[in-house]
Amino acid sequence: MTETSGTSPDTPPDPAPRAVSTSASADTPAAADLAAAGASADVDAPAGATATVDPPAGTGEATAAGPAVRTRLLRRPSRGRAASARRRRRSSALVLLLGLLSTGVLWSVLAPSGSAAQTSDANEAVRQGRALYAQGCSTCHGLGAQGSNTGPSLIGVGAAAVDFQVSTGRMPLAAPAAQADRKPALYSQTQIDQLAAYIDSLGGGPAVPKVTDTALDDADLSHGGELYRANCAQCHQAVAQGAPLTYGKFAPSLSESTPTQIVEAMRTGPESMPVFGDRQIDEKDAVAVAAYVQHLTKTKSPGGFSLGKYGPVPEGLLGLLVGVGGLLVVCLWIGARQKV
Amino acid sequence: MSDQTDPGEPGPAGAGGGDQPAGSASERMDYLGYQGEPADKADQDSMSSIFKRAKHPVDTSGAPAGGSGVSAGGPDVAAGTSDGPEALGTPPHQTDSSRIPETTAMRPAGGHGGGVTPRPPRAEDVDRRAERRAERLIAFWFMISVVGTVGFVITNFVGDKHKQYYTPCLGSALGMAVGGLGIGMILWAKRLMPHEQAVQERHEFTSSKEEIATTEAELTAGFADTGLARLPLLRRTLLGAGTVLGGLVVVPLLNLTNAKPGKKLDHTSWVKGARLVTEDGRFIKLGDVSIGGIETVFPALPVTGADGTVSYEPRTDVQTKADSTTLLIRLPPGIDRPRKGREDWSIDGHVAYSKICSHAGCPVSLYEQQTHHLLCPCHQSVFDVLDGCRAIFGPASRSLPQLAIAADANGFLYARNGDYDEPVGAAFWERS
Amino acid sequence: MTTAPPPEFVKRPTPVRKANRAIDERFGTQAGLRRNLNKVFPDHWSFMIGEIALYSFIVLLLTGIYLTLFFDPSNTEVIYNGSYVPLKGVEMSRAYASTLDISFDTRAGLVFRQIHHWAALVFVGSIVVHLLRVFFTGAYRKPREVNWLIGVGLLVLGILEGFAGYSLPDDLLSGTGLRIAASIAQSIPIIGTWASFMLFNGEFPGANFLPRLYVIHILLVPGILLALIGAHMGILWHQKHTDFPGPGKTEHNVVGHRVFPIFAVKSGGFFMMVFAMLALLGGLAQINPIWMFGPYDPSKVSSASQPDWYIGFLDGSTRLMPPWEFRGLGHTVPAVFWPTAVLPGILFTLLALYPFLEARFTGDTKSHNLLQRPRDTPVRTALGAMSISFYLVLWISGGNDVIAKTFSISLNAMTWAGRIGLIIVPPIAYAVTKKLCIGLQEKDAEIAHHGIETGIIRQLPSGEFVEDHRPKPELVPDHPHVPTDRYALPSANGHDDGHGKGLARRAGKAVSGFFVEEKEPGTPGHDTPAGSEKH
Repeated sequence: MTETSGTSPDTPPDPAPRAVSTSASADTPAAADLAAAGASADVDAPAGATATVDPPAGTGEATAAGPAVRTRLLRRPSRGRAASARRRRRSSALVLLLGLLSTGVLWSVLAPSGSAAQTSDANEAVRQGRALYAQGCSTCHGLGAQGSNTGPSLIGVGAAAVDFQVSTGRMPLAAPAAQADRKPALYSQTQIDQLAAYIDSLGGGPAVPKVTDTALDDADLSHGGELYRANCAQCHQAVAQGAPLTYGKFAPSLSESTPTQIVEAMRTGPESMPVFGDRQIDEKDAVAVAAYVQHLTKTKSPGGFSLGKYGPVPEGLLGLLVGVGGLLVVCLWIGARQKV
Repeated sequence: MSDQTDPGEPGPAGAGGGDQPAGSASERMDYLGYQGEPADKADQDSMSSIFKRAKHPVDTSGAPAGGSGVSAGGPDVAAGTSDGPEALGTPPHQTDSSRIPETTAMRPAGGHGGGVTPRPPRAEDVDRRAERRAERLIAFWFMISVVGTVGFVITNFVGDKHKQYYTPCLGSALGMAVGGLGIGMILWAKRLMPHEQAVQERHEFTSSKEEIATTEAELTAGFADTGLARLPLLRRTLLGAGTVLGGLVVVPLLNLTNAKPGKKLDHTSWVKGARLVTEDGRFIKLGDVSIGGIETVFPALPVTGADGTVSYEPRTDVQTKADSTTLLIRLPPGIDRPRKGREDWSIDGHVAYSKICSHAGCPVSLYEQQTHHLLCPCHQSVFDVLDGCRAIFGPASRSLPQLAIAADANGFLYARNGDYDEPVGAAFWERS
Repeated sequence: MTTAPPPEFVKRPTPVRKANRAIDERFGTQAGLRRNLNKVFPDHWSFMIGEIALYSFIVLLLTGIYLTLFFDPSNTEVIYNGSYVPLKGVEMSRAYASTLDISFDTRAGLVFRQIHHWAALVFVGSIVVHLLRVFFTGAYRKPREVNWLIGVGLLVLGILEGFAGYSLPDDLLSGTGLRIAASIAQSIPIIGTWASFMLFNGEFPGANFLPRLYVIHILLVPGILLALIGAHMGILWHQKHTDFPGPGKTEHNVVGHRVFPIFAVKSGGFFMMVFAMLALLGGLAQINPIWMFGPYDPSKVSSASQPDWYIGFLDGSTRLMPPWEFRGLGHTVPAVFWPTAVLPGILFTLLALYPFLEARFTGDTKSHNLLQRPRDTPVRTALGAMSISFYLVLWISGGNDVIAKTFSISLNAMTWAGRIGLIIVPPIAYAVTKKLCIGLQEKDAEIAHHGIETGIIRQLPSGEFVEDHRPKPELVPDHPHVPTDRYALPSANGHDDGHGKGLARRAGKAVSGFFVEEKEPGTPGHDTPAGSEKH
């Protein structure tokens, strides 16, 4: 999720052009909504834009200021609100790009009291999800989510897997590669929830974990750290900056991951990642790991610029280029001669 | 000390006019060092001429000036390599060897000495206002240094060491403190100090033949006096005693280790029946690890109590971790291809391999659950878990050792055969 | 030309003079003092690279002393209860805990720790650059082979010292490095197991290993380093510095600044600059944030585990090594032995022996005080380029995981590129460099023969166009091919000085003025040859 990366309000146009075309083909229902909303899409664009101003600015402060403010960042007051933060940013992109969502739908979820999705009829969510699935996912995963040559079966993967894959933008896949990259999510949180409800209805799997702000606040950071070093650091690197695996695969950086996504990844084992079930790492410990990752990636370095937190390689480069190189320039200055 | 830095000293050709520092316009060459002594006095001071000392280390101490001075006129040129003679700093009185300058300094606008081109004068040399400007600039940098020092002291004592600004402020202040001084000093030397081009003679290090002969003779005589050549028994016993004593150095070296290697590298702490326990002290049961999951496990050694009950004692100390750390992997059913004789070493898709890399001992634990490859982060050896953790890429050449595991009636996993059947970790000479 | 008259003996001495005389009465210092203060050092900028290493070493000593006051090199396990929250309650060695305390609970602890680490990187880095300068200019030739040997010793010891320091905090990164070091020691044929046990006091991780490493790091190696640096400087002082050929510079003189006062003040200022650079790095750029790595635990590891840069080439060679492990007759020679013990052994031996090998092959037994330009010795320069490219391939491979991640390259492709590159890049570097040197030599000969092209085209009365050539500046007696200075070309219109116009002109002048001081206009007698001559 990008809302934690301190993006400025003008980034929403960022989503890659390819996302545009995919969404165009995928989201016909939304397009229909758009038709209903008609001209009001224009009006909505600035509204969405102003809405985006808030969370990133808050994030910026939070990372700069002490822990008191930072907790706000780690907090997820409710699924609805956290989701709205995420979606606000994305929504303005969508409006700007294609106007796939209608103002009405958008506003109903944007509203602070937006618990509509939670209270909506579960069957309705499944129905909506099925429609979204048929449009955007069935090409690869098969009409009945049974899988095909180009995509694995989704029966039994659970809601957590859907939420993780779609909210991190890995799905829908832009192009076949050794591994899916994180990119701006294409679907709104409501749509993701609907998709998740549909997949969940096909056969149980891990449910979307509920990582609450109180849980993150209460998490035992040092225990989370120990678990992180024991189970995660070998791939994601001690400071969660990611590292390569074999043949072009890689363990991604966790800088942009939300606590929910971190727990989802542990539970579902996306792609190369091993699964860490709740009999290995229980709910409390999983949240502690997520809290520790947030601490690693969000805390400012006490010792100056962090050099990408990548350890001795950038340190060596800086030491040689700036340290030795800079002193060579000083040598040149001291030894400067007059032209004879 | 040379007097040449004294601006009041009138040069032989007269000092320059009003605004010009002394000597800048004059054609002048100064000989550094005190050159005015009479020859006999100079020779009493053996340090007065390194040149002569280097050439004739013995003779200079008391020899009359004439004797050794013959070759001193330009001798290192003559004794030198094939390069053409180059008489720099030619003394005013060629015949008087004691007055040979060792170092010659030329100031801006001086004449060409021996082909060395003096630097042209700077603005500071000819313009007093430019000199003042340079002085002010240098003083500014010195004051920057003071500011930096004050900043360092204040940050150090008043600053909150837990705040993020603390270390960057200290570093910047210290950088200012020393850097200001450094920049000021360099500017001072560059802008305000005379731009001299000093020329100093080099000296051959080779001693004269007589010198060598004398030294060698004295050494030979001294060696003869020891009697080592004449007395073989003395010589041999001395050599023998020395050798034996030298061999003594092995003793403290061996004392460096508190334990002989023996067979220690061949074994780990795993014993038959030891349970697989996590770092938290949780015994692993079937089903704890999801399909596609991994868990790092350690031995929990069975201890039979007085009443016959068996308890398990987790061993997670550093020493045990260094060789007994094991990676438990749960594979999807039916895809493992166990090696011959290891068909029953796994249970329900759970396989256990040593986590200590067979290459250099790093914990090899980057498990890719789709390809079932294990990657070592240190040197990127890749192991194929399905094929008995065979090394398939990188510098590792041996498979990771496999630990035979089984599940007891309660579902707890344990080591069914005891220890690994081969040494874990990096190889060594005694390993077959 | 005359000499100055002898100075008067001051009858009423100032306190400084009094002190001087008091010392002289006891040690007879005056002549020696004068001789040493009048020692001349050439002032080429490249001769100051070694000083960077010297001054970094001094900074290392100063900051190191500060750190020893707070560091506790103990393997004893404690529960951390300092002010770094995410490690509270974690079991760790006292070495790691006290490093955390230095970083978070000691005044100016973190900044000095970081300066210490940066100084270590710069120390080894400047030694390497200094070595390259000495190598490519032939400064190691007779009579300076011994100083070359000492220098190689300093490099090796500097690397060892750095590795020991990197390993002391007992964090996850350094512990992983020690584990590999133990495996390397263990891999030596016949004595390996004993060597590893003697080093670590038993089977890795050993019993109370850190105090031992601490003594190595703060006493043994620094002591040897200090002694060798003293010898290095003493020999340099005694033999006098080499110099580039130039006007009036011969094999038998040295031209430059005397120690007192200019050289001393410049060097003092340079020390301050080195210190300032390290202080700024230490304050502004975070290095080795051990609190993020966690305490060492043999069962844990972080991906992208790297050594400091000077060990990187060994890490690279280990990564590129094919899985060749020799087994037979009941013994094993592990794959890790070749790239980590044999390879550096060969490399450093070759490096140390190079002056003697070169003298043997060229038959050059003379002493040399003037340096050579790299182009004048194509084979040496090409060998140097070959060695550098070999080293660089290893070094890049040492960070190939970080590079693979940063630039989304397959790790396996990086490894294979390194393996192949290690074989084909050095010969290419050799051939290209040699050709380049010879080409430059030809260009020099061309200039010596035809003069310098000025870019000014003239039309002759006959209608023919010719380019003006300016004659080459006067030659240096000892080295006929070396020009006296850079070629200053006259401009076409006589006004432009090659700096362009406007703001760019100002910036250009400022930058070039930084490196080449502009001559004051109107100074008589030192104009560059103004007239151009048709050739």
